[in-house]
Amino acid sequence: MKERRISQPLVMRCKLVLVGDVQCGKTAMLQVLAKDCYPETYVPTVFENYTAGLELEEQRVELSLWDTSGSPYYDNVRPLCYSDADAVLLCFDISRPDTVESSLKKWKAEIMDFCPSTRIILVGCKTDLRTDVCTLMELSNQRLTPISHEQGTLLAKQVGAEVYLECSAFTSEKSIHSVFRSASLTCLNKLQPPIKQSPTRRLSKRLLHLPSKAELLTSSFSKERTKSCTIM
Amino acid sequence: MDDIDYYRSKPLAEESNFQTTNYDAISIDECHYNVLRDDLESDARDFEAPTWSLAVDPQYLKNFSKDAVKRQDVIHELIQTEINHVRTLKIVLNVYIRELRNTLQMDETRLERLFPQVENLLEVHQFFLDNLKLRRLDSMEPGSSQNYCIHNLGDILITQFSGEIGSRLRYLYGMFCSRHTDAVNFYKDLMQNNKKFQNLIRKICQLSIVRRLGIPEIILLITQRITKYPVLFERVIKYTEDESEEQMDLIKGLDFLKDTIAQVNAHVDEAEKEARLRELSSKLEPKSQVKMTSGRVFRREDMLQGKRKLLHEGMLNWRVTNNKGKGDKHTDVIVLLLSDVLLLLLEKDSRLTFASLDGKPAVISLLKLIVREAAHNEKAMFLISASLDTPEMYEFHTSSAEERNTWTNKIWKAVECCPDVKEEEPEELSKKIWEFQRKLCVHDASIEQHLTEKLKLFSSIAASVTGVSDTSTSERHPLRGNAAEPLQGERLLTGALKDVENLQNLLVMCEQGPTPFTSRATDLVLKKPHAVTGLENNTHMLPENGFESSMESMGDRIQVANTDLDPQLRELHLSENQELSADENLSVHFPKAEFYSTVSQLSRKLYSLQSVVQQLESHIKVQHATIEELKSRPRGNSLLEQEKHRNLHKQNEELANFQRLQNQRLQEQRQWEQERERQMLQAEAREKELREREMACSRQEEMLAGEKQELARCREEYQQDLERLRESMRSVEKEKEKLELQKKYKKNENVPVVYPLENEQIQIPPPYPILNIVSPGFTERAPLVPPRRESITGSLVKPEVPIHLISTTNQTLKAGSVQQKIPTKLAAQPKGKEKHSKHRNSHQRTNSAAGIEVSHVVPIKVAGREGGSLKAIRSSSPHHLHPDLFTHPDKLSSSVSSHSGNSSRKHNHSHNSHTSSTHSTHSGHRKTKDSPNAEDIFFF
Repeated sequence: MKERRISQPLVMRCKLVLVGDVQCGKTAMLQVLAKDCYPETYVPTVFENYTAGLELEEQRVELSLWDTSGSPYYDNVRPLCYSDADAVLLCFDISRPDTVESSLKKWKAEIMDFCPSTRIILVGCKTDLRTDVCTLMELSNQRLTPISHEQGTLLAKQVGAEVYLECSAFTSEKSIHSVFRSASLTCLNKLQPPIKQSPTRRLSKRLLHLPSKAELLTSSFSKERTKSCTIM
Repeated sequence: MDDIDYYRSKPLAEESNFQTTNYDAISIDECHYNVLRDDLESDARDFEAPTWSLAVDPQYLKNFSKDAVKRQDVIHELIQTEINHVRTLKIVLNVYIRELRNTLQMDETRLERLFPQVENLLEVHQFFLDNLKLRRLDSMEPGSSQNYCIHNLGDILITQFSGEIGSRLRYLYGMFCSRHTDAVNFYKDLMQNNKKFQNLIRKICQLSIVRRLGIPEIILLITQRITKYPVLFERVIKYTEDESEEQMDLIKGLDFLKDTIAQVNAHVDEAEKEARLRELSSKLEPKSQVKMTSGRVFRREDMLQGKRKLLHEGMLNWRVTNNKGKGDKHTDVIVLLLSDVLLLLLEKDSRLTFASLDGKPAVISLLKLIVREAAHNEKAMFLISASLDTPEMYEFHTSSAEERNTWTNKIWKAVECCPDVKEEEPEELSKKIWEFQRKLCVHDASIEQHLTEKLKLFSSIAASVTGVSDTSTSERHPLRGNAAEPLQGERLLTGALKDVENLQNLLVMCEQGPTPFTSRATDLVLKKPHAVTGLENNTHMLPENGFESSMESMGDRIQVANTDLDPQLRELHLSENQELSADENLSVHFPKAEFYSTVSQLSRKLYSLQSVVQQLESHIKVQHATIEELKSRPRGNSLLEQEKHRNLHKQNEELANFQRLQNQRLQEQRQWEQERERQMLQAEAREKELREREMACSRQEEMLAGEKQELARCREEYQQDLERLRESMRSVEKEKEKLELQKKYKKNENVPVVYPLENEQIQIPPPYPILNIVSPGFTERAPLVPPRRESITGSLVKPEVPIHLISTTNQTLKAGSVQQKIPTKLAAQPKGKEKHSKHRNSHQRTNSAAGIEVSHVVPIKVAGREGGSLKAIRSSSPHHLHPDLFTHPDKLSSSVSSHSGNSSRKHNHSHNSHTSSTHSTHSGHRKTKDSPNAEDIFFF
């Protein structure tokens, strides 16, 4: 924590781990962000790591991005990626409403097992399919509809995620960038001391009351920005 | 010949030495070595000459081109060097090994260690040398013993370095070269520790036949022999005709040779790595053991297991990051990549221990290992062990990106080749399949039991209807059927068909029985063969229907196999029907028994068939299961296949990038070509401009040439004019003499002197138009005019200055007059004369001042005269001296008047000189006046 505070004026390093069901769009997000290209062919991921830089308003953030496999076969390998993670991006496909709840429960359980203190960010992928005719017809046959933003927000609360974000790697690079920008801002909020603290820390917090107010103001601004980004 | 004599002399000396030391040993060695020497000499015969061109007759040599001669020389060299190699091998085998074996009783193991595979090497090279020599004999010119030309050599090379001999050569040199370091070290140890060995080697080296070759030198020569061939072969190819069959063969042989050398190098490399692994294992502390990522225990001895090989070795920095955020831990480790594991070792004081960092295993199994480059650092890589028991992730840092890539590639290749994956899973699969098969067999057995119970029940029913004897027979039949069931499926089916036919026959007989004409009917059948054939047709049709019905019933029973009640009920129903039919046929007692027995047999066979079908179904299911499990095997290897798939995808991306770069390069090339075309066009345009300029320059040159010619003409005319001037000067001198005579008359008459001046005034206008007309004349005058004008202006200014000094009232007047005088003189001369008259008046008024003025004026005039004409002055000076003495006072008065007059006359004189001779009289007058001026000068 101290090191991070010291490095705050210069460059902030942020480790994000992407988890989610098979073929929900994790790798596509990372490739669009890190390589500026949408993967045309599907290659199941075992384990990958990318790096990307973001220029936020106040400082630069170096993202260390870890891509994992959604297959149960690699359940023993995936936990190796959780170490020292600042946030876990829990991804799901909005065009699979039938399996979302069960899968999110499973993923939440895994995340709680291996990194209970890490923040969770729920990400809805493939938002372009909300207007895709084929997808809508298939879902209508089953009397289902793609997951909406409101439903996503509710799911985020159920899972215990800090934020609900949406994106479409296939149609919108901006949405991808906004997702990772929001994720970075969420990690920045991590620098603030959490609410639950020991009495001694509370005393120190009272002494630093004024700076904490300033931080709160900045955090509120960042939250507003986050909301505006999601709306876009 | 001289060399031979030299070699012969040496053996004699050596023999004498042996006689002095030990007679018995000498005799034995001498006899043996004489035989060896003869053998070596026979090998070298016909190849004593240094080159082929010196070995053959000079006349024969003339028949060949330079390349052909060089080719034969290289082949000669190849054979010579091969002879030397065979000689070296023979000395090793027949001298060193023989002496070491006989004298020191060295065992075969140590001899093999010192000289690996020497005997076999000699055999292979002797074969090669024999082939070469045989080819020489085949290529000999008829009737000659030394003239030969080898046209084909490639086939011998192909034979030697490919096929069985080639593979043997690879093995032998691989063994020898990979052990040569150990052999040399072994030799050094023996030389240091074994005195007998030292003495023996010293004696052997003294033998003349050995030619001072020691064991290290011999080992080195043998090691290097195979590397000398490529140079020789390439030179032969160079001097061989292009695209000939011989050259093709030679190139093929060279390729085989290079392949042989490559394999020998690989063999040596492998041996070196094995030695390195042994060395590292010896450095590892004894009793050291750690757990692998796969959960097994790895010990020091495990490093040297038969299958394990050292693939790569290096120093890496091992780093671990903690969740607690305490900071990174890192340590330098020696990483050994073996064929199936990765070892992490620490070195302290030349001792090795298994590394330990944050409790992670120091031995990483390559089974299910994932290799990834770190995106945040080009020198870092991740290794993830995906084993089921304890998955782990390692982060290593290298010193450079290239080293990182080398490590990742080598580890990945090792993971691909790791063999353990295939060994375990098939066993598991087979076990599962076996278990399933066993269960299926159990169920099949139970089905058979149930079917046999059914048969017993049916037989008991039949027994209740018929007699006891029938029951006994029916009981026996199912037992027999059970024994034969699994092997006679088809037979059962055919048997069932026959039973059906018998039943149908019985039914027909029963129908015919109650009628009164039964005997007649039988007679009719016997009498009429057509009727018999008709019955046969009916029998054929009925069995087919029965077959179909039986199959349908079988299908139904199979589907309802689980429920035993339904088929039993159906059977009871059938039996009831049969009983009714029996009642109808009560009149015939014998057919009933047959009927029941046939029915029981049929039912037994059908049930047997059902059991057989069940078994077949179980077998089919087992096969399906095995097929599915075989298909599922890739699932077991999904990690490896996914890794391969990922790597292929990555390679495809790299190929795509490469193609993009290539396309960019092509585009750039096109742009460059376009620019080049533009530049070519520009160059052409510039060339045109240059040509135009050249044309213009040439034209200017022509113009200039013309101008040069004109200038040349002008020069010629000028020279002609100069010549005319000279002639005129000569005429002037003649006229001077005449003028002197005329002066005498003029002195007497002062008034006539004034008259010539007037004449001059009249004659002035004519010269001007003449000057304008003649352009060359004008150019000639130009050089003469400037100095005179300057002198004139100077003379005019100076006399005025003293006048100003004298009187103040006259200064204003004279200044104005000066300004007016200049343009007037230039315009016309008559006005100038008036001014001169004024000057005369002023001079006459002041006598004393006039004397001073004269002294100032005289030297200026003298200078002007000299500038004008030097010859005239010289010629006139002696004449003027004489008259001055006589008429001194008259000259003074005349000199004052003549100053201004002389200046004006000089101009006239110059003009007149250019005109015709009519002006000679005027020039005479000028001369007369000039002479008194000269006299004045001499006086002062």
